[in-house]
Amino acid sequence: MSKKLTVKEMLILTMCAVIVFTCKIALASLPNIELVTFMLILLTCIIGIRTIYIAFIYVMLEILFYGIGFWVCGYIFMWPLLVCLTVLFKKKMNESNLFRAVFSALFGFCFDLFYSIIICMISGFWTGIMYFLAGILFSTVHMISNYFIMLLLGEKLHIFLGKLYISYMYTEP
Amino acid sequence: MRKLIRSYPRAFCSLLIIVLAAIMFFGFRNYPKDEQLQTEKRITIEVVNDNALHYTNTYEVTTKSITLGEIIDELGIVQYSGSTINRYITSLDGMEADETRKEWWGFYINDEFAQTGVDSTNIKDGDKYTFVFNVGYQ
Repeated sequence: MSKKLTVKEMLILTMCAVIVFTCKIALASLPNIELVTFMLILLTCIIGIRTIYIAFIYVMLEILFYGIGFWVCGYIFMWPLLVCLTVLFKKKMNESNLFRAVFSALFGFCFDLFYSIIICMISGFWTGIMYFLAGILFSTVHMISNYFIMLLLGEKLHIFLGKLYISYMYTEP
Repeated sequence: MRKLIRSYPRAFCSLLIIVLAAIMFFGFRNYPKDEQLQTEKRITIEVVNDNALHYTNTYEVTTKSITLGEIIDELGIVQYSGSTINRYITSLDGMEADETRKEWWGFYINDEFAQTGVDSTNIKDGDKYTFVFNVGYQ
């Protein structure tokens, strides 16, 4: 893979970001049940660190759609962080779907923790702790949903996306 | 046990996640029913309307309730709008706040403006809660 992005790669990355965003919108009515973690982990397993572009484009689309709010601080940091962590454990992630499921469950649970740290810094330690405890039910839902989505769909979509990526990247138009 | 986990890692992890979630779910649900919160408390509730009537009414209450919302419900002096989780006071002691005239009820805990709603304010023994009728938003 060359260092510079080709136009083809740019298009593929943008299309992936749009798919991630569409998945988010499709499940927006369900509290803390989302496919963004699932998609970003799988795409990172296949594309690698360049998925960070998808994460940033996705955050940009969210900002365009919903406007800027407190949640942006979390999004702009957490999704690229997810990509970096996935790259860090890429070998293990590609080998085991169960590892991917446990990882995405942990990430889902820790998502609110990051906001609590910000609130700790702004409003004091106990306010941050209370914020986290008040939302622990939703963090739990996030954890369970991430785990089962990955466990049930991860294996097949990983193979499918891999094939699709190879066919798009390495065949002439 | 180890052999069993190695044979069925998916089932083991799924069970572990479900058990963890169940502990968190029931722990969270039972937390406010802590016995410490249900001890007897003596508080003062004051209703003030200095706007037109110069009205003041004081209630001395001894209760085992947890939130301020529960107590004013028991006293039967309040009317609300909104859902049962996040209620907005529209009338107290028969005095209605007209939103179109920018009237609203605010409340103070020990003379400090409250940062929480009545349903998320846990009462403490000896505290004074003052409901004040306000006009305008500044």
